[in-house]
Amino acid sequence: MGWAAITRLLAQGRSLSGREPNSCFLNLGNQDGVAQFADVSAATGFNFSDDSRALGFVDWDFDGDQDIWMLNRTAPSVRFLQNNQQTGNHFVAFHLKGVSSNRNAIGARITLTTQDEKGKEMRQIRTVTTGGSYLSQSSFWMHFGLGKHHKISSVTIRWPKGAIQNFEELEINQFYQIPEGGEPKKRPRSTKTRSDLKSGPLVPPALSNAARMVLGNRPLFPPYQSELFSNPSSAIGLGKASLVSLWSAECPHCHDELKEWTQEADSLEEAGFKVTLLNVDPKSIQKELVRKKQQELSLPFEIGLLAPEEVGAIDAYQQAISAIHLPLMTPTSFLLDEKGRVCVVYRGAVSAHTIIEDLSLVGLNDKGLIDSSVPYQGRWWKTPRGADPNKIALKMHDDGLTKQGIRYLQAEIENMEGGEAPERIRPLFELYFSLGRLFFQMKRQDKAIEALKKAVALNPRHLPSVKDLGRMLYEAGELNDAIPYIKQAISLEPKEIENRTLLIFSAMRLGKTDLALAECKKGLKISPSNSDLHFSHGLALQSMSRWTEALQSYEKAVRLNPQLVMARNNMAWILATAPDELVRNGKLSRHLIEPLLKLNIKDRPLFLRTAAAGAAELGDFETALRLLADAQELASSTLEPQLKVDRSFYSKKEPYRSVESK
Amino acid sequence: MIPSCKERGKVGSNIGKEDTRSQKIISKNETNPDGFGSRLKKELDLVDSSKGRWSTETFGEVASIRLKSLGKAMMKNGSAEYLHLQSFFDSEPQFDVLRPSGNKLDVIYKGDQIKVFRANVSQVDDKKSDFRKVLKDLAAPLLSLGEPHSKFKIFRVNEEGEFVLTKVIVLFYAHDDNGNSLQINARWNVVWTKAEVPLIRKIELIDYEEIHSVSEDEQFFVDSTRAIIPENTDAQEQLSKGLLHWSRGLEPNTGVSTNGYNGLSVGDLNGDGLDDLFVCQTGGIPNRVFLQTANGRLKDHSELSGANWLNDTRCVLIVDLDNDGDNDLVLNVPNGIVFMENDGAAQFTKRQEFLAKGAPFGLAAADPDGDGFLDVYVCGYGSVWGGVGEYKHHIPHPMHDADNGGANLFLRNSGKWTFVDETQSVGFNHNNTRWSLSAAWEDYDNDGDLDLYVANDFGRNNLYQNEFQQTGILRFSDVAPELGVEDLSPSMSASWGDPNNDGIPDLYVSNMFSSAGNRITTQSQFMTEASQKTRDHFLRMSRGNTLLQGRKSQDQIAFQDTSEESGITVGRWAWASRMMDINNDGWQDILIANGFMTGEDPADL
Repeated sequence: MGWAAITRLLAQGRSLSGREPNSCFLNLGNQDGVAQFADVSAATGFNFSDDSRALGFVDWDFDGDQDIWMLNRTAPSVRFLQNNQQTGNHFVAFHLKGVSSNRNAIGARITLTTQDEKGKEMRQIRTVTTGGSYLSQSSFWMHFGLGKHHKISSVTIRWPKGAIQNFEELEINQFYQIPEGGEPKKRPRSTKTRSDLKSGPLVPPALSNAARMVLGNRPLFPPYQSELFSNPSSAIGLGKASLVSLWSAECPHCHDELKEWTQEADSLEEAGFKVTLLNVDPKSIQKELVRKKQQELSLPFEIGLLAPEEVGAIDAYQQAISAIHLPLMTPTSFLLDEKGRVCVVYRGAVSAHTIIEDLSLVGLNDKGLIDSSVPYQGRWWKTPRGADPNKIALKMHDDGLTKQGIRYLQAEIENMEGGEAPERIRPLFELYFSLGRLFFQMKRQDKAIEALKKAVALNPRHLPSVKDLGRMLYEAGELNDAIPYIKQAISLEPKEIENRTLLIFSAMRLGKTDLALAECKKGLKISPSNSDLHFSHGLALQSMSRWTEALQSYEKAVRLNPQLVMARNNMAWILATAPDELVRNGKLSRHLIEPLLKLNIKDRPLFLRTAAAGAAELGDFETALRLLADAQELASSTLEPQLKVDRSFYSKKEPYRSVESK
Repeated sequence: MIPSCKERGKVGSNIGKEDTRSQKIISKNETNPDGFGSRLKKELDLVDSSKGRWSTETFGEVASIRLKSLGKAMMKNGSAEYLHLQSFFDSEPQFDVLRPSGNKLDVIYKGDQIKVFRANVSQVDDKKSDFRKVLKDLAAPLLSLGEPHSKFKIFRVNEEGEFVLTKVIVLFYAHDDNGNSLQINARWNVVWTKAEVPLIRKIELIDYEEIHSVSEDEQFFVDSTRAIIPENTDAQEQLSKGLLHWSRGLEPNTGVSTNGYNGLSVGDLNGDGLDDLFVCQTGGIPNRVFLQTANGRLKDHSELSGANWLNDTRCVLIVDLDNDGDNDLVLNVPNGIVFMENDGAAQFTKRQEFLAKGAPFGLAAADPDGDGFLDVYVCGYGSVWGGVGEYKHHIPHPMHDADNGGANLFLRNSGKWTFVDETQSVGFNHNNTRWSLSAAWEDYDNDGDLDLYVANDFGRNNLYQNEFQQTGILRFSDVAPELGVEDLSPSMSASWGDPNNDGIPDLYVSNMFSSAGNRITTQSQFMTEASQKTRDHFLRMSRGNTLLQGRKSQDQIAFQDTSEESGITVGRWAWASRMMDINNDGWQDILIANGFMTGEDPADL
């Protein structure tokens, strides 16, 4: 299971190590100097199955034992756990105040020695500290439990700056405030009013999927072309603010909502709303269901019939704008401004009254809208950016609705380029980049290249766009066009080898072996042990008939990456066919190629051809011809002419020789 | 608002879903143009047992369900004859006595309120085939208290011919209305006969422990939040809800997180000698700042404090940064560190900001150079988010020993509200690309200056030794490898203490205990291509929490990993883990906040 899969499942409400009871380990004392513990989580009532995160300790009620503040991810998010221990054990607590040391005396070390009735001593240390355990801070009161020890023999404080103070006459069961260099002062123990804290936990309300979400930066509503059922008038996005609601004829909450809206139709109209009801019922019975509901309620609104993929796109949209991905529920309604941009989403039924009140949000600027999108007053350190249209489109793609994703991006780009709010939400080049990606997914390379060219024109330093563009042009065979972008990608990220190998292949395919060779050398300087580069280097050298050097490069590649079968094949080929007798070695060639013949991969015909050349080199033309015949059976049309040439040699009992390049 | 359909519209939206499903599969087969995540995917696939569906994991799931049902069945009051239990067992089941008693049980802790008993299991050897009696003896004391609870976690599964051997962590507990509790911790060997519904053939005790807690009124810890946080206020409403609520109604760009990486701090904000409370909150909802009143209640002070940031706030420290006698604030927001000055009345003004290099998590303040001013160490997790396509460094690599995290910062305090990044000049730049979550200062070697332990997720931890006392120069070097305290595991936090009271600081590190991890990494087919060392790393990563006891050895401090011996590894998915003497007996206990993500769906991934 991949990372992304886990994230997706969690966003859908799955659990990962959820409902784990918090743990409390009781110290049982030492055995051979090693502290022994027992898990007493349940016996002490500490085993809350919250997703807890932080713990802060403090004797909140000054009763001589430490209480706990706890923070949770789950509800309730805060618990105050009162320590209700009834052991009768003694304690002492100190609050240190630095004078020449830091005021909080962080780093001060307290050593406490106590005695029991038999004169048995016990020594404890504590260091004043803060931070440390996960995202928490505890009280600066340093608390010591004393068991049944009734006498404090000594207290030694080593202050952060090094001064040491000793105290011998301190009492048990007291809270002492001690300033650096000064005398301890008692703080009174608990007051009566504090014993009545016992109450109970904060009670969380029941979790509901219904929500009213104000969208900070009003992302466009997904474009749709619903079949109009009734009240045909101008489409949304032109004119007043509109209310779009997705509903099903069989959903009782939709029924109640629509009934209420119908009663309030005049108020809605007066407020300036255009209401569109988009039905999501199955195509086969959609019209019939809608007609029945229409007769029943006499809906005075425009009604449209959504196609399944349009429902899917709106579902993807409502999931992408939310931190947790809840499947689309009916009714879900959207309050749109005059440009078709969403200001408020209502999951679940909503009253006409609320909608009319929310109309005031439409007129707010982005800052105002963002401030209205949070439930309580607070301040922003950095005002957040708006919902990301890239994410919305990619979510549609993830849901199998790539076409809808493309349409969404195109609409958002049009909206931005229309000058309404240029780059209000995200930079335009990012949208073109995403558009390029989605076109690529649709196997529309021409469109992808067009979009990426726009992205690169807007931001020539955006590496992912530049890189993708170079690669797509290369794959489309437009090598001359590709090279400048590949070079640009290299200059943006010189360490990335992938771009450099792409440039080398482009150069080789264009016959620019000098350029290829030069790039190999540059790349190997940066990354001397990259097997792909050594392989490319070998290819370039081979094409220049520099057989021995090519063999060396291939050998390095194979040594670095034994999986590079083509390097092995090419070595075997050179050893079988090089015009230079000193380079050829038929036996070694056979040794290299034999293991590859066991692989059943698409390059098998090539391996067979190489093996044939090796056999011919060793004078075994019968085997060579047999291997060629095997290759023939599997070969693609591009390899066939070459096999034909080989066969003409072997039938004449002549080995094949590579041609020297000029 | 009118109440609404809890489930999505039955008909319409289903259609949309079903129709897109076939398209979904097509899109999955297409290649991703930039190959994002493929490296990580490979690594995760290595540990992914569901790929190819290991028979042991499938068995583990079924056995888990069986044990859960058995737990429920045997704790049903009134069904004294236990006839209904027959279906769980093989025809001739063999049983150890599952609740040893009498002279087979030793008292190993005798507190005034809590007593702990342990069985000498080697003496418990009389096999009882009458499983009804064995189970009845086990259940009876629990049933006499109140409604018993049972929990089982299978941490080993091994197939042997027609049998399957499992090792199980077993927990039973119950308490009465007066707070008297009984808790039973045990580990069992359970042998199963393979069948469509597997049958228990044998149960053996590996170890057994029983805790009795007596009380006059209520349990040891009692949730008393309601009386303290003022009723019918925004603050109370806000804190009563959890992230499952907020993640439903807020846009992701507000910074609302479904993970809930937020903390809280206790400290005196207004200088009245009473500790106050600062609750950090996720994006989109404000931090809650409270002042404590004389009667122990809280007063909401969020708006007046000026620290009610709406951005996701993970950690805050309440410390005096300018030595003027009141406590100031340093807190982190996404990508930033904010320093705020206290005017004395708990109204805070922003004085300085820092951009963090890695997503900031834990903060730890101390004065390691003794100049009287507190400096701040900032833990950095992954790298800071970039734009589209700039996330490739955001995945830990390699997963079991990641060193591509965001840099931690050491911000040195001039005392005049200027903090300077001196990470490099003091040597904290070494081993500084881990995924750090917490840091804890302590003078572990007792040489008079503070050293720093840093807990890192996905890999090894650091112990930076301070050379200030020896050289007069603030300089740190990472001595974790030579002291053997790297604790190679996904660490979430660390805290110092002295649980064995020998006067030398000990260290408790919280990690993740994963029973699934324990099961999978001990299978022979786990990561067959990896080296034994890597396999051991993965098993070690599932072990859980770690206790490192400091001890003196030839005038040097050395650490001894006593985790297993001390019995503190199973802290589950552990976050804050701190020592505190809960019962004032003079020995520090350990409290652990744990659990990762509870969703509505109870099935755990």
